[in-house]
Order: sequence, then C-alpha cells, then structure tokens
Amino acid sequence: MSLLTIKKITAGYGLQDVLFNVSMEVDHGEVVAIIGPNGAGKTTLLRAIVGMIRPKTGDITFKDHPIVGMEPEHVVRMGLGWVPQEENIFPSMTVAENLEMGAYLVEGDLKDRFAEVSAIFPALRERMRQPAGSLSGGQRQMLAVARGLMLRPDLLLLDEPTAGLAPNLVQIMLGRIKEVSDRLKRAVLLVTQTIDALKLCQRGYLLSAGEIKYSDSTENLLGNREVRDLYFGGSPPSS
Amino acid sequence: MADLLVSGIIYGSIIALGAIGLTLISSILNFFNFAYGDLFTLGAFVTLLFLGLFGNSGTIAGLSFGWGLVLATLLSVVIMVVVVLLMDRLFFKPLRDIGVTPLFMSLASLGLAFILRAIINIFWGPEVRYYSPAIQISRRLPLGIRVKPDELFVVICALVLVALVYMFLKRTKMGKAMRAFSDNSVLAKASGVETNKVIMWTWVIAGALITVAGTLYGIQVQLRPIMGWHFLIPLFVAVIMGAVGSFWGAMIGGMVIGISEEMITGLIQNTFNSMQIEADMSVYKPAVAFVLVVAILLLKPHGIFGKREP
Repeated sequence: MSLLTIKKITAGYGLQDVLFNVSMEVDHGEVVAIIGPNGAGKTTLLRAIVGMIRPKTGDITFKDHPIVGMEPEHVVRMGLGWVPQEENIFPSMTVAENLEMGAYLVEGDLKDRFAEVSAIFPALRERMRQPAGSLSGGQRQMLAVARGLMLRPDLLLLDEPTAGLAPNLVQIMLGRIKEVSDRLKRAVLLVTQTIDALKLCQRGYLLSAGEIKYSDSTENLLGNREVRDLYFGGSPPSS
Repeated sequence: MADLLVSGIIYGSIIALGAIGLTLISSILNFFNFAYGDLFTLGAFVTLLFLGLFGNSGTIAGLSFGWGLVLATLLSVVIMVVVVLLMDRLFFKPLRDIGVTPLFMSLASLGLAFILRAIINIFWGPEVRYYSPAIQISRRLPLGIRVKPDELFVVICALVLVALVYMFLKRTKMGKAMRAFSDNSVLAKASGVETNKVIMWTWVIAGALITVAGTLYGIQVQLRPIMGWHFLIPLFVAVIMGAVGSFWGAMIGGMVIGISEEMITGLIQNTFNSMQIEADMSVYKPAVAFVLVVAILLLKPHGIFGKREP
C-alpha cells in the first residue's frame, strides 16, 4: 500500500469547489511533485491532506488510515509534516523555539533532532536565539522546512519552498530538499512551479483547474511539449 | 511629582496584570473580550464573599488586611477560573464552532458583560464596599515619596505574578504552544498543538490574573459594581498600545497608561488648585487613556511592540 492515497476528492472553500475528483499516491521515501499554474488548486490539495479543509467527497488515507475529517493536530501526530508557502514560521519566537514547536508532539530530549536539522541547514545553527521574524526570506524558508522536519515525518508536504527566493538560494534550498530525501529517507510531496524542483522528483502530477491533467514520471513530464510550453514557458528539458 | 509617579506605578501595575490576560485572550481567541472588565469586578466581589466567611484574621505586617484576604483571594481565583471556563463552554465555544467572526464574538462578550454586571448588582447591590475599614498611614521614603504598605504589596504582588506568567509562557511546553498559537494559529495546529488545551489554559491564566487584579484594585479603593467597566478602557488602551499579543507590550502599556493617567491629571489638578479653580480632574483619567491610544494609533498603528511583516 502507498504511504498516502487520495481517491477522487472534491474540495474547496464554502460553496466554491477548487478540486474535482483528484486522485494521487505517494510511496514511502518517494519525492513527488505537484505542478500547475496559479489557482490550479495545489495549495488547496495540501490543505485538504493536512486537515485544514474537509473534502466534500472522496477519501484520503495515510499509512492505511482514513484521515478525512481529522483535525490537523491529529493528522500531524500520524507522521505527516506540512510546510505552507506563506506564514510558515512563528515570527515572535526564536529559531530554536520554532524548531521546538516543530517537535511539539515529541516527548523527551530533542538534541538529536536539533543536530539532524542543523546538519542540513547549518545557517540556522548560529541563529538559534534570534527571533524568527528577523530572518531573511531564504533563512525563513529554511527554518520553515527545518521546523517541518523536526517531527521526523514519514511524509513532508512542501508548498512552493523556493517561491520568492533569489536564484542562488533556490539552488541551495533544492539541494537541502534532496538531502531530506536522500539522507533522511523522508517521502516528500512538493508543490512547485519550477523545472529545477521538478527534476528533484521521481514523478509528478500536473494539476490544472482543480483536476489532474497528467500523471507521469519526471522524465516524461519534462519531455511533454504541452507541459513544457504551458507551464514552464517552453524551457527545454536540459539535464 | 514623585507621589504622582508612585501612584501611577501602583495603578499601572494593576492595569498591566489585567492587560496581560486580555492580550492573551485577544491574540489567541482572536476577539476583544468586553466582559473582561466585569470579570475584574466579579473577581473582586467573590473575594469579598469569601472574606465575609473567613474574616480578615488580623493584619499582616503593617498591611490593612490579614491572611483571611489572602485565602479569600486564592479561593476566588479558583472559583473565577471555573466561571471563565464555564463562560467559554456555554457562550464562546458554541460561537467558535459555528465560525462566527471576531466582531460577533466581541459583541457577544459585550452582552455577557451586561449579564455579569446584573448578577453583581443582584447579589451585592449598588452600594460601595471595602475589604478592610482600617485607615493606613503612608510611610515616608526619600525624595518626598509616601507609600502605604498596601500599595507596596500591590506592586510586589503584581510583579511576582507577571514574572510567573512570563516564566510559564517562556519555559513550559504549554506556554510555548500558547505563544505559537498567538503568532500563527494555523501553523500551531499543524505542529500538533491542541486548540482546546491552548484555549483552556488561556482562560485559566486570564481568569486568575483578572481576579487578582480586581482584588488588588479593591485593596486600594472601594468596591463598586461599575468599577470593572471603567477599568476596561485603560485595559484596552494598554493592550492596543503595547501591540495585541505582546506580553511585554501589555506590561509596559499598562504602566504607561497608569503613570500617564495619574501624572497628567495630577499635574493639571495641582495647577488648578494653585489657581484656586475648583475641578475634580480624576474623572478625566479615561480621557488621558483615549488621547494616548489615538496618538499611538496615529504614530505606530501596530503598537509599541508591534512589527510590520517584511
């Protein structure tokens, strides 16, 4: 069985549906991309998975347990980490306190976890006592991902972690995400709009107007002219 | 001048105590609780109720009250914590569950304030009451400062409580969860923080603080059913001035309001007295608070400790 299975969910806000019959799967240790234009419903899909909104129809199972209707605090407890695109830190708390909050459900010593995330994000190490609100944009994103990793989740949902970052920081962030997968063996569901991020993933889903339009390996998605032209501005699939 | 400053610090320390509770409610529950002033009154009167049962049991080291008031306050805190938890369960939780806006939550709290005041009037009547009829003589300190032992007790008690709440918020897991929830409730939930527990602890702390604040105020002045309603203005101003959700903002905002109200009205009163103009400036204290909040909102809309997100 897959780690995460989504079957035909329809979800939205109030009377406005955003997702229509969306189905997808993520396996253990896999890095999967969700790509698509703005307003396609990518963020809504992550919010539905983590329990922030309740799908009207369909099922979501995580580690073989149905999670539709569960409160986010209980979904997280099962080993699912979520890093939203915006407002993804606690600005008035220190970097160390932000990381502690990431491991809120963990009892006992957090030293190993601090060491683990500090090894991946060394820039945070010397800023532990600094208020998170005073960090730069790139440092904030790194803290957000590090906070998500503190729980040692089986699946980490990352919502456009490179959005708004300078090109050099995008490469650094993507390198860190690769480390999360390679070194920590965490499964990652990555919402992205960049080719470089898509290349990190084994496969991807193309979400358009709330529906899954393509589901394929990264190689095939990058080789698909329509995908390239419509969603990546016709950029060639350079290696 | 020094006397006015001391009076301001005493009054300010009581405002600070209440403002810390109010800022926690405002930032975590996301509404302005207009019933908080009447909870201040109710707390003071519940202490009076227990004091009537135990008596003052003499006096403690120069203070106007004895261990009876201390015990009555502790019991009052317990009762008031139960009251605020019930209040949340019966009034605010059902509203939260149906997703009403912060504006309607605030309006509901206003209705609750009227209910609480009516209850206080029914049980205790409109007449003024005292914890102790004893008259205290001020002690002279350097710089012409005169302080009554009760006033010193009020400041020390308030500061100790502020320190305890700060330690709770800074050092304990639940305290950190409350700060996280106040900062970003969505992310706090996604970190596994249980909303119900955070809300419960918010009410426990706010209920305890406002009860002690009401009792400390009652030690200073006579108890009146309307006193909490009047106290609500400086409380709100302190919270807004310091930035909603800021612990130190509420603390310093409370002190600034207390000192400003006492000093500005006191200095004008002294001037009028020297000019032999008859006027009671103490009734204009709330005006000082209003002027201050307007000035702060114009100059620093996010409050003294508020930060604009980059």
